[in-house]
Amino acid sequence: MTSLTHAQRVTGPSKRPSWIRRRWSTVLTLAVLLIVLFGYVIGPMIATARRSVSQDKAAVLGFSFKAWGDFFANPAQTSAIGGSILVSVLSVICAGVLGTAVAILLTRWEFPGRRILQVLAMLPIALPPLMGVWSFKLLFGVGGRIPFAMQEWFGLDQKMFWLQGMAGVLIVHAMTMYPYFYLTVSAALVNADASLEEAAASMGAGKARIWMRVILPMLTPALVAGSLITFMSAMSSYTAPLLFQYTDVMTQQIVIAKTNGDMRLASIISTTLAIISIAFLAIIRSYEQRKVYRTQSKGGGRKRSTLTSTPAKIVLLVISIPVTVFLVLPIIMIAVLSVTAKGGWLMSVLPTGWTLEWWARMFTGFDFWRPVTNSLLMSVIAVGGAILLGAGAAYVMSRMKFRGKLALDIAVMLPWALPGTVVAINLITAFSSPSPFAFGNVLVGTFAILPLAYFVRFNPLIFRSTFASLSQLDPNLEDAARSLGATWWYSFRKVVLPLISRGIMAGALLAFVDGVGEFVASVLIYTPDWVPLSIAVNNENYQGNIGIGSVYGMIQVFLVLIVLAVTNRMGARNGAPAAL
Amino acid sequence: MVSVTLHNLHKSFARSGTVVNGLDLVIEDGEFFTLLGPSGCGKSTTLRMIAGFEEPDEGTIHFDERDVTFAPANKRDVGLVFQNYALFPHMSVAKNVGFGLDVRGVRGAEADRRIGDVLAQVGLTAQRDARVDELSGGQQQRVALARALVFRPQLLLLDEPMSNLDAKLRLEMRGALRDLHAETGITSVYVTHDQAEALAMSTRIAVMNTAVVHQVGTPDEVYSRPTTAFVAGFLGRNNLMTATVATVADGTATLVLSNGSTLEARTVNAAPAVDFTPGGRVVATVRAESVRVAQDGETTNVVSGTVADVDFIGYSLSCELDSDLGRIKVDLTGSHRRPERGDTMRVVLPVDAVYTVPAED
Repeated sequence: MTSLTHAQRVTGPSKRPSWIRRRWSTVLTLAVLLIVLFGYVIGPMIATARRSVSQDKAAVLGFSFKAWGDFFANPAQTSAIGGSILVSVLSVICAGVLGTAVAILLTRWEFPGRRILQVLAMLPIALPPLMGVWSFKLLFGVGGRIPFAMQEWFGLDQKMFWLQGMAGVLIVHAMTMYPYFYLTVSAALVNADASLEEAAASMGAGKARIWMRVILPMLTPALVAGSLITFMSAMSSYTAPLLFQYTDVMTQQIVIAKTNGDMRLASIISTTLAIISIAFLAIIRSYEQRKVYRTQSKGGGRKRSTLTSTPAKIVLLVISIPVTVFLVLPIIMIAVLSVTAKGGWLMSVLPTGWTLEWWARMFTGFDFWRPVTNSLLMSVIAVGGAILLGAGAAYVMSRMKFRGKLALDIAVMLPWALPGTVVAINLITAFSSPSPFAFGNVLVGTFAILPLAYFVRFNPLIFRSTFASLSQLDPNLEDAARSLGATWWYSFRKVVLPLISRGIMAGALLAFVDGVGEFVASVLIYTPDWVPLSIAVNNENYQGNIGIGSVYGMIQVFLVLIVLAVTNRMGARNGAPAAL
Repeated sequence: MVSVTLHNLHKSFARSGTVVNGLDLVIEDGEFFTLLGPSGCGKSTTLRMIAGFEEPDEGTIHFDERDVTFAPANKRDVGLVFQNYALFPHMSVAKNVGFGLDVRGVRGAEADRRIGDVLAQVGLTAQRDARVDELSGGQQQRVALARALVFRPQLLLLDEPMSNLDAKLRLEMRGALRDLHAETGITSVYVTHDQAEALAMSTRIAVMNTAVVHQVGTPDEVYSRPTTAFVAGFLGRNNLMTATVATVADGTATLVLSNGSTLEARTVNAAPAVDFTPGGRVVATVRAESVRVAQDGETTNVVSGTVADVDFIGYSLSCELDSDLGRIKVDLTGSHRRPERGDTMRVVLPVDAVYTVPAED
């Protein structure tokens, strides 16, 4: 067919570079990733599993499954497993109903006050994790102000209600977890193709039928995604059961066992919880791979319908006013507590003694600020490490081909699924004795253990947001840079990094917010020399200095608001925020 | 500039199997060479191997005497224009174009001058500081071209660069590309599935299908003298009929078609590999534009059929007839009574217009 004169003239075949020379960068990056994952995530988890089959309660000694048998035979433990599952299911229902209702309310109808409500809907994100729950307890709990106010206003002999145990846990979960549904459902509603509804209407379907047959099925992916995350978060929840004294859940049982010195039992419960979390993570990851319903037609989405009839307006107002109050109240409560004098709020609906004493503590010296700087320092260290590892892992996973990618993906995401309590138990087990991954040191009881715990928990957040930006990046860009003569490093610096930096930043900020408020893992492993912010809040509150705790809480709120403002600005410039 | 020699290239992927199977090609210095074929024929993979993004499983690639088979992409000195342009979204037009210069350490006034020159060449001087996402598709395409040319590569590769442009822009860009090639004389390899582009721009074309090259030749050669039935069918509107050779006399072969009727063809009008011994299997081809309406009393190479479809496309009437030979495509130019669907029509496949290619196995 073709003349081969040139081919015959040229010299013999050149050598294919060896496998290792062509793949050394992949191999090296993977090796680092695997070492870190093994050393700080998988290894500690295995160590905990190992400890659960020890013959001794405290030490790691021999092999015996007897303790596992006892665990499943112990009604207190099985009831805690049931309790965890029950709380999680009920949390999904409560948060799901609230989140979906708010999403539909805000995306479907135009009514007075909609914009304000839309801003307030995101408030639970700014609620500091520990102080927020305290606020709920002081509002709705046994001595809470709301039951007290009801009693006063209605002149009753007894309180109409107060929340304790599971009811208290559920109200906190509904409030803090409904954003999972609110965000996914409103995104689905906004992206929903309006022409589908119009098509259904033109075929003669009534409003009810359109909702049942068109809109709800389109919301299914959003509802499933929200349910999975809520279920997992509720399963991991520690603070709400702690403050509402609901011990019938696994996270509480872990801490009780640890306090009783039965590290083996703590390990058994941790391992069980870890297995449940891994299963859920696998379900979530495989669900995320599936396609979501997308708009197929051009043009604008559905417009909000403006309500004109007075009864409808009244109905919406009646719904939205209590929702608004419910959303704002916890943060107002913290603000009020921060200016309430000690003993200034005993037998009254509103405080009687006001003071600026707690805020004035800010100017009394560095000791007040130490928990704040501790948390900032530890979060910055952890976020820095997580940017290197999480973003590196995201790059490896999105650009390189190798076997076992899904397993690595699950391993990277694992600490996101593991309850903070379990992460803490794992680290305690692995780093109470000298470890090669701590260069032969003991980490428990030192400064390093908390930044390490945060680092382990933050990796998945940065991994996810970086991976999201990388998936949107045209792979041809890197090829283009290479063909223009750029080395890998040059093209990474000049092309890839600038384009994914917003994704990395979004994840890093989210991680930073988590770090400043982290309580669950901290409470099990913090050292008295390096008290983080949430622990300081907890200590002050338990000593009765709720005013100081509230000032710390307000500082957390401000930090979160600053970060949210920064993220929003980035999002506004970039089109859409990468994380959340 | 440089010549490119591909010798015995093989490439297969786990998912799609063999994509390139024993490819031999010599692209001469200064040619505008086109790899033409339907999607999935292996043309893009071939281009990616020349660019250095894929390594062949077997075979060699040479630029002149230099073996580049396993040379990394950034060491090949090749300009590449991507189908989706792959412009860097965070850089201005000038920064995009200057990327290849910056990599090579050409900076400052010299870089500015060369960026200015190449932007003038593609007619984008005014857009120098624009963001790339503010540009139209045609302008983005020009930026991609400028970016691939500014560092004076020895080879220019174009991967379906016009598939995202509308019809009018495509014609415009065709001219611009041809001018640019004439000016620079750079060896160019162009990948497309659009035969019009290939025929209009190339010095030579390699027609590919299912991982192999069917024919390499000038546009005129591949259009007028196809060597395989695939090439004959892929380019233009052609009627392909399998046939058996009955007799040969005085340079005219009589072929028996599938319905038993006969067709006369000139033995000189045939691909070199055609075997005209009686009983041999061949494919007779007649282009739609060569078919004409039969006159009364004409009998040689006449086919009759029912008009199944009529398409008026301005300069011609494009018809399809249902005959017992299958669908016959007929393009009628000049003044004709417009046939209606269902009309019976007798057409001639002129003896001199019948071109014979070997039957496929």
